[in-house]
Amino acid sequence: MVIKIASHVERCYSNEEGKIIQNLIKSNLEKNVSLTLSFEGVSGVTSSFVNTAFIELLDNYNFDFIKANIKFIHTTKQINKMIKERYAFEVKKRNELVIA
Amino acid sequence: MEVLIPSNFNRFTMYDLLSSVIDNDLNPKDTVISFNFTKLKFIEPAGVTILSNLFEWLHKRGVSSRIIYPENCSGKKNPIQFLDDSNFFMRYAGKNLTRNPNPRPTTIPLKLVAYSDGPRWLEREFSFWLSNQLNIPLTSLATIRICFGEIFNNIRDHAQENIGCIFAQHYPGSNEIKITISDFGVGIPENIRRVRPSLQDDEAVMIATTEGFTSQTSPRNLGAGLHTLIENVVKNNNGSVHIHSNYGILNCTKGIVSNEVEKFASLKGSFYPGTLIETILKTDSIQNITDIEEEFEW
Repeated sequence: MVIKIASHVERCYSNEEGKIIQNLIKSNLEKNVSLTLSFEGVSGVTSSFVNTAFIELLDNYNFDFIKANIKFIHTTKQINKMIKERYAFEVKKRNELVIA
Repeated sequence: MEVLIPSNFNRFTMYDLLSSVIDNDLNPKDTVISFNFTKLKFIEPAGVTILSNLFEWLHKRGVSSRIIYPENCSGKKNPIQFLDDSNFFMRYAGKNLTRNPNPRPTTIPLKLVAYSDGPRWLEREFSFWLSNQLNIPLTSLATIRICFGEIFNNIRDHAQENIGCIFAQHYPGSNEIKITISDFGVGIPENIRRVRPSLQDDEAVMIATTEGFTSQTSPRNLGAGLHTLIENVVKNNNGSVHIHSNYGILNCTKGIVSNEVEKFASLKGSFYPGTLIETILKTDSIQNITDIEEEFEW
């Protein structure tokens, strides 16, 4: 299933906008529906948006599950970098907490 | 009481003025304060934002601020003319002090932007101004725009005030743009000490910029905003970020040898009411950024 992010939020700046997308993702993953998220019409994303929309999914799903079930399309260099760097940091931090 | 604006007003020279206005208990020293601009010779973009922030902070505490200015204050190089062109006196004196005030093409006039209007201001006014200044398309400015989005989110998370005072100036000769945003909230150290009570203000500002450290002012605050700002401006753009909050200062520049972000924190004897973030962008680096669609791979 494809979700066009710009159809649900005006922009990708705040935690509140991130929460709208997080809820959409969760409701589909709970039904075992894999997702393709389209950033068509979105020029950039803040860390607050990414934290809430995507990073908080780690509270419910492991990283391998997220990678297997969520794809991103129509992204830019800035969007890719923000998503990948935030996941890299948070996954590493959570793994270190588990080991400790 | 009357206080003198220093002849060269910027974030280095602001502390004498601040300590003459704010007492040791962090209250205004008087209920009516006259600001004397007659000795002012030069004011940097940060100075405009600092004065605006101070006037707002005093106004919030019931202080009446008055302005004393020289009789002859017209001319492009006159700082009073510069402040008038920047909309400062219209906002704080209720009138223009010069005959023909006009916004200068190299500046964005002083603006108070509420958090809720921040993204719109960035996408419309700021981006169009920057695009015109640098003669590059709006699509090349996505990363820069997001950097300032991070500052607005930081103001909301840390300040308990949803308004930022903003002023920006382009220096074509040195390929730099200085953008200063300030809030008159409680300051970063105040929030950081909720979770790390033993930290001094300089240590608190330093730790606030460390990736993953969060004051948990919001349950969704994961401590990434200021880190993202500094990485993008300093590491990727070769610019610099300077943060003043309460008694703490943090300067972030790129190391000449290491090529990495180098942070230097220091403690001042005078109090800054809120948080001031001065960002210096290198315009030649902005022009090299292309933000076209790129395939995502995990």
